[in-house]
Amino acid sequence: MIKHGTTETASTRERIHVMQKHPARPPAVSALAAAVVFLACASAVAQHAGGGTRTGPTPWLFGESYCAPCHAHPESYRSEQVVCRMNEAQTWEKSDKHKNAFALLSGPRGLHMGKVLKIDVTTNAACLNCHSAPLAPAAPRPGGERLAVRTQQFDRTRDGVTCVVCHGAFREWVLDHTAFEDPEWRGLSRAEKERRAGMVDLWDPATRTRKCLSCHLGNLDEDKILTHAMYAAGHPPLPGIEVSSFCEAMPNHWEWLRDKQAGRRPEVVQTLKQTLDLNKLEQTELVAVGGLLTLREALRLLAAQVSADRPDVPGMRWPDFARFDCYACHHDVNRPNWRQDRLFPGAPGRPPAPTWPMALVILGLEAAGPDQAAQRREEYQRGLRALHEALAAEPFGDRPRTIAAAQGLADWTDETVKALAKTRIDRPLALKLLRTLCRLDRDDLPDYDTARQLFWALRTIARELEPDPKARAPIDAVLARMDNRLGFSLPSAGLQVPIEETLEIRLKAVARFDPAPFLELVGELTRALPSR
Amino acid sequence: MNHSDRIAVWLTGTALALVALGSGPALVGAGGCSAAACHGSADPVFGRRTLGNEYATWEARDPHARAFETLESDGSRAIAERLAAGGRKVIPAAEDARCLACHSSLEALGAPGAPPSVARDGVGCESCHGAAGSWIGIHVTRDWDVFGPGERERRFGMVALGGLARRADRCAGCHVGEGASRGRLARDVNHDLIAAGHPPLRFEFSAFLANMPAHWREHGRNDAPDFPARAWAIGQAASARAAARLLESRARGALHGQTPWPELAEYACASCHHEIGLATPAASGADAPPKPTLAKWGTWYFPLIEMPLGPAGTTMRPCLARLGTLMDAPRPIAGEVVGAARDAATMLERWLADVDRQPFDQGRVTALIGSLRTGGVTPLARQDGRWDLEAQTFLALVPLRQALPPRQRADRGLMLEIIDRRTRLQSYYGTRPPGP
Repeated sequence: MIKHGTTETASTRERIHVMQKHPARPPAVSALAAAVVFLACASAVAQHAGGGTRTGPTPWLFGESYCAPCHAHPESYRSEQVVCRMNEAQTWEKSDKHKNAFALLSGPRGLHMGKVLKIDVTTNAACLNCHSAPLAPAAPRPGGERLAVRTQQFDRTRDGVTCVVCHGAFREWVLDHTAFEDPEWRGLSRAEKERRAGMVDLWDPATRTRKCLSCHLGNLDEDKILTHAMYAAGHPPLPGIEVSSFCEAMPNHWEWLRDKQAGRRPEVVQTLKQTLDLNKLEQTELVAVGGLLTLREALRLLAAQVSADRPDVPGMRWPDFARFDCYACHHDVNRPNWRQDRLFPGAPGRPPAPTWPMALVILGLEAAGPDQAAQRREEYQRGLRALHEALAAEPFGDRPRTIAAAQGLADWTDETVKALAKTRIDRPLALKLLRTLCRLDRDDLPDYDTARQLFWALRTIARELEPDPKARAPIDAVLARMDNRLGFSLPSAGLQVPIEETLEIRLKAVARFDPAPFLELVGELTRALPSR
Repeated sequence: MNHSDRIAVWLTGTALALVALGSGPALVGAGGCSAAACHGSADPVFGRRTLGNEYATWEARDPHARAFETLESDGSRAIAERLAAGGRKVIPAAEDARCLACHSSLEALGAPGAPPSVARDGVGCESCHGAAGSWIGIHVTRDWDVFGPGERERRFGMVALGGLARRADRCAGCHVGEGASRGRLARDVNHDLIAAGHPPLRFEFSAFLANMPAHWREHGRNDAPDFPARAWAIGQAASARAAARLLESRARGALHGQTPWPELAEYACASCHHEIGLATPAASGADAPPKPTLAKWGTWYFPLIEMPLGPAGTTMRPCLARLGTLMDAPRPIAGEVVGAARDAATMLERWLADVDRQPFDQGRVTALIGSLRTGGVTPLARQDGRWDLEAQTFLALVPLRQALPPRQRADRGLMLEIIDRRTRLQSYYGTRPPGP
């Protein structure tokens, strides 16, 4: 049994009591208990949380200790009708860094940043919105999430980024799903579960990507912005993100679709098949969708910040240098330097947008309807050119032109994501995508973050295409050499070690990066790819 | 038509336009001065007022003579190509007004009757001495002796380079930069040019003067032991004034959308150009809260500016502090900077006139060296323009030491410190610590 926070309510104690008595059947019983308790106060809840007219599910913030009584019981995996591993809370507890997200604010770096920025990092929304569960703003903005003002067994100090931060901080689904054998719940589609009950459909690659990116890249509507002022005060640079690789690095507390069928009872497999396509190349799809959405979210954030020009968050007045390519400025000025040989996307001397969010756009572009690829490529190039020109028109960009160009290109990615959703990524297409990634434009030297996006995508797709490690050995060998040489893997992945232990390794890898060996190894990888 | 194309058209149009206006006296070209009997002797000529071999010294040893050639080098070609990034038309450096403004005799572009080859002279005699069309004849006659240096400049346009303030001002026109004015091209190595590959300008008059192969002898006040100290102090003032004026013109141009803004070349390079390396913050809560590091303005031309003035220097502080505060903002307001920079330039102008008159006796020089050394040799921190300050300190100590009497000049401690400072500066530009 895992430890619990101090904010237990009567219902939790009851749940735990019941579970200790009947470990084999905890969910149904506890669900019943919970349902009784909550039905009794449902009307009061609706009034408090919804503030009158309520259209969707009720925002409600549950702590991890509310979920753990069920989701820390892997023994239920085979015996129950459950569709998940049931050890999620244990994985989160032991290996997932999200758990420490809040605690590290009180560490030396957090304290230092607080002093520099003259804020209390443990209570300031600018920090908590990513390092904990988001706080409900005094006045919600259009487009922003509806946030919980009511909490249940939520202990900020130990919960960090807790389960419901990603899965949906809403009362309905959290209660309903505990009666998982109820045909009414099982009969709902994923979309309905999200819309009616607030359970975020993380099986949808676009939804999952957006969820991760809201913190790992930023989202102004959700007040999740990492500004240059925060970086300058000591916040470690956010690494580029490829969602599938980040999921594995968490590590994933869920099963990939291909693993979901093994050892399940037939009726569970049947249930899974109703809601999920178990045979699709899920990770490849995630890489492709993520490639488009990363650019989209980066552009939306850029446009939003240029428009907002807000003084309330430290460093939110435009220009916020954090929206530009860090290494356009933060590089050694000594020569010889490979950066001198790079082409300028806009104009020399004018900081450009970061290039890593553009690295994997080509995958979605190629995959979304091959007959339209040429036209899409042209539209994308045109949009990109407009963005670069707007940003180069004057130092830190011509504001109206930047907003227009960023929004225009973001709209294009939306269209392409829609088209991509209609495409089923099969083996020949995945292989084609791998080859596309290997055929880099050799004149356009990638920087570290861009190269790492490519590395992550190559590794993820190659592993999914060829699950057998023996058959994959030649590819793995090249990828391992690439990783060793250039330091692409996140050194703290799946480790709950303090950031100070790994930050230097990460920053050194960036500073020492040289694109030449990368391109050479990509060449080797091309030769190692299977022919069919 | 994009920006670069406009410049090209404008450049070709400039010559015609200026010819039509008839502005500027005629250029002669370095060839016009190079007769063996005039300034083109191979060796100094005994018994003359001038050395007689000025042209030969310039031609053989002075980098100014190579200024145009540089525009045809591989490096310049690469700069021109980078400036054309994004599919713009490549303008060869040797035809680009932005480059020719400094890399040739400026007036060559508009001087009536100037042979086109004059541009090829690079920075020739007339770049500093003034277009000679109106005085080349008279300056070889006895009538010329009637006029003093001031009158020669006012009436004929021969620049009075004997005065150190005037000389420093002339150098600063290119080596610091100057905005466009009255048909003259802007001379501005801005961040666009630096990013394309042009070395950043870090002008220090006394060092540049000492490094230039002299084709002249110093006379009068200049031929005194305090010359290096005066050159340093006057250079400080003249460079700072030029920098303030350039900033004013950059900000003014920005108001009309003609110049980039904010102009990033105004800031310490290492403010931004350092690798991201985050030191582990101190665990204790006792230390003073540090400031977030932002781009730092004016770290090259202004860190020591109060020093030669002594107590009088403090009057300049509020004026420069205001400019610094305006410029250190993430989004400096060009309209306000125009006024503040103009005020600073006016104040520096007044001070330049003062310092030009003052002697630098032994006591004063010793005191200056003392205050430069009190800071001690501190570790070079990144990001805050510390390298610039350290470099300026080194460049001040060298001429000030030269202005000391021989016995004090032989102070071993001072000499070792200067050597130590130079070694450190050469090994580290605020970005990467020395060593592997």
